[in-house]
Amino acid sequence: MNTYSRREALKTMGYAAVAAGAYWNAPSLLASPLASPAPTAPVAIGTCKTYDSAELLSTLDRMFDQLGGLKRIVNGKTVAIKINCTGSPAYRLGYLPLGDSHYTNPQVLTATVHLMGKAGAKRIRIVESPWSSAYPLEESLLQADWDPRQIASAAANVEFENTNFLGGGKKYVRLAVPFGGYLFPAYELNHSYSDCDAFVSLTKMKEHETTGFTASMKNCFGITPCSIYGGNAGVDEPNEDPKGGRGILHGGKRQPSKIALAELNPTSPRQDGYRVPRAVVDLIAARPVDLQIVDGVKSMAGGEGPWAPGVIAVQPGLIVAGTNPVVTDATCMRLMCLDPMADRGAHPFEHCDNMLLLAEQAGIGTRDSNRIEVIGARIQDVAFNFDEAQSKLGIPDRI
Amino acid sequence: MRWPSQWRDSSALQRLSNTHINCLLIEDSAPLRSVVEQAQKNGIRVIHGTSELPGIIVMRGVWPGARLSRASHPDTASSGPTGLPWVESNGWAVRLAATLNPKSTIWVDVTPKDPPESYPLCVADVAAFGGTWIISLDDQLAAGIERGDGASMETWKGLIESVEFFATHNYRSAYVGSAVVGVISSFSGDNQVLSWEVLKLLTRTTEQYRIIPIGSFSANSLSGLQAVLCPDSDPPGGDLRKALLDFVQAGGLLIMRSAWHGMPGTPANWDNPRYAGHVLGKGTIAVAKSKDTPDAYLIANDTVALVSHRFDLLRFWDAGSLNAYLSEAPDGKRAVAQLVFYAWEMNGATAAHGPENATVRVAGRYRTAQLLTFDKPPLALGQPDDHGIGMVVYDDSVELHLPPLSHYGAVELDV
Repeated sequence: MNTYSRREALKTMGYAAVAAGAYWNAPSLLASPLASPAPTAPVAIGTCKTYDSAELLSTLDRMFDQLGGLKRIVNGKTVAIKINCTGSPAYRLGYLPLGDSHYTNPQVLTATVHLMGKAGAKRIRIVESPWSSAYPLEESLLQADWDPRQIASAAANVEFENTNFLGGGKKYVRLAVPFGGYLFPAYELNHSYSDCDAFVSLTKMKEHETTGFTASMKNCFGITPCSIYGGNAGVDEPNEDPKGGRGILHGGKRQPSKIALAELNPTSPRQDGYRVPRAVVDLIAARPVDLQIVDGVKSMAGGEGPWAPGVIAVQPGLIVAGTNPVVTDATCMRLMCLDPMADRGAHPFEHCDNMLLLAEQAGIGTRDSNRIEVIGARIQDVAFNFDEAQSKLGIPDRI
Repeated sequence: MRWPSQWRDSSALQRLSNTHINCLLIEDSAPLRSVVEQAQKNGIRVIHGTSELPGIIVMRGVWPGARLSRASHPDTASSGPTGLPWVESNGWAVRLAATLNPKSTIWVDVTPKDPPESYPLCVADVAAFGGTWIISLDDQLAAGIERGDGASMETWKGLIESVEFFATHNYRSAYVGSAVVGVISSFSGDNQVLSWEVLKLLTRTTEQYRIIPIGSFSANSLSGLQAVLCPDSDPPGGDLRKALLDFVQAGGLLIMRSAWHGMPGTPANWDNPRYAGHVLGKGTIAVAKSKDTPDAYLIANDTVALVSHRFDLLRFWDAGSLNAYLSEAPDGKRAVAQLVFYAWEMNGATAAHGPENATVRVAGRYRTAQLLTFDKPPLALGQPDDHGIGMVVYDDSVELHLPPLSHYGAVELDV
């Protein structure tokens, strides 16, 4: 494939605008049917059997090129990379390093940072809201056995920020949901999510107890600060020493700190299968995701973390990248042998709404495979059946 | 051992034969006279009280264990101020007593809770940190042993095994505690409450620390440390101040509750909500911003973060609630990591025993490791086996993948 001509073609087709985050069709589409089909964007699929840095670099470099080049997304820009460090860093799946099961793998992050540096990123900020912590993000990463110095040395001007609270900012930023919002009309976030010119979701390909599966979209659930949306969030003011998870977004038993706007409909169901998918879609609309990188080299089947019952380690050997989170995640689902078109009640959305459907209805992106251009490996050649992997080991289905 | 009052027949002393129980705390009463006489004939020391025992410090302890209160799902709020189970333990207090009384033996007097969770846990909670628990049986167990009940005899056997272990593995005499942080305090007067609480909570972080009483400070007190914490209300003065400033100049971190008048160094460009930084030489001084009485929990956890996990000597995964004590031989060629487990939790379940598959990373260039427990033969940790149990060697550390453990494990390491 001639990458130069592809890049030019993408520009012609207007995908640059998609990459800049304007991926929804209209400010508010909930009141009426979609005026036009939800946007699409190409998705690159790479195969990678290990986390060897040379293999990762060449694979990611090729995939970014297939998407039109990393330069158009990061050159001269401040980039925020939201990694996926779900749960306490003190939990492992068996004896596996966290990056081999449920955390973003640090080698994938290091390779990405390196390539972004080469592509001209002005500043790269690694962001995450680590479990029950208001300490520097690097401290949580060290507890997970990562080496933040190695990551920081992969490019110039690399920094880290814990976005679970106010962090290094002077005040929270309010990002409105352009289509009006499913759950909240706007979210109060750490400053890092408005400081950045380009926002990247670098996450893990997994199943998820609450949302059926998780990739780049669900990763953005973690951009909300627990100081405002957490179980021990302050009532009047944010609690800058947050503990626990995001109970306010999960079960909704109370409203967030008063600094945040209240829910649109406090009488809506108080079920996490209803609320979490909607919060996810709100968030990726409020803070558009310019680039998605989904690490499926090694992962786990059966849930999002070691705490989920019946989970096992798997090695799909895949990496997926794209510039529209709905399109990217729909492709990830197909690679996992899951159906992104499934409705609530059907696998893997037995107990939750399909967040891709909600995102599609909000005009963010399509989940229709007929409208998604896949570049690189073919899905039918490399798909990895997460459910089958579980059943082969004789572990009963979690549902 | 505190002799159970219902064991009135001297034949009960046979239960102590071939054990390392060598002293009985026994009621001075006529019905027990024959027991006392027979014990003395057997060469067992008999005492009737714990006051004024030469060379022995007897401290009141707490029955060890965890109050399990953690939420079942990681995305739901945890109860309790820390999000972690509250652990009752004696280790920090034993270490403090031993440091303040270096020529004394430390005995811990604590009677079982009703119902007691684990006798071996109590033995380990005290002995791993250099003390000795005055064995005390609850009435039900004492009666059960007297009757020869199977379950009671099994409990007694487990208790004796744990006592035997520490009698034959006297790490305190051959090893010296390893530390990243030194805690300097008078540990008395107005500073007692806070400094004791800081030690208790620092222990829960598994940060390895050295207790440094101001009164016994010496040139060697700071050797090998990355940081020093001074939680007292007044900043250190005189020679101690000079030694601490030299420590900072050489690259150390000094964490202080109170600033000196005319703080040395230049303000550091850092953003910490509770500490102001001053750069001095190669090191840094962190001074609490608030003049209010500080929260010991925050002091302990802020200390760990200020020092950084980069310098962790021990790091754990899936270990549940534990206390850990790393010590090494003076020549640096051998070390032992003693691990005391109070509760384990996973998949929303909590249990008052040790972990199923804990991993511990030990900083250092070790090449062999052996796991010792009360009830199983020593286990050499080599290449991970089919279950993943074993040791992985890295350039600067080893990672130990441990099998299921009850309440205690000691990992002996050699370079």
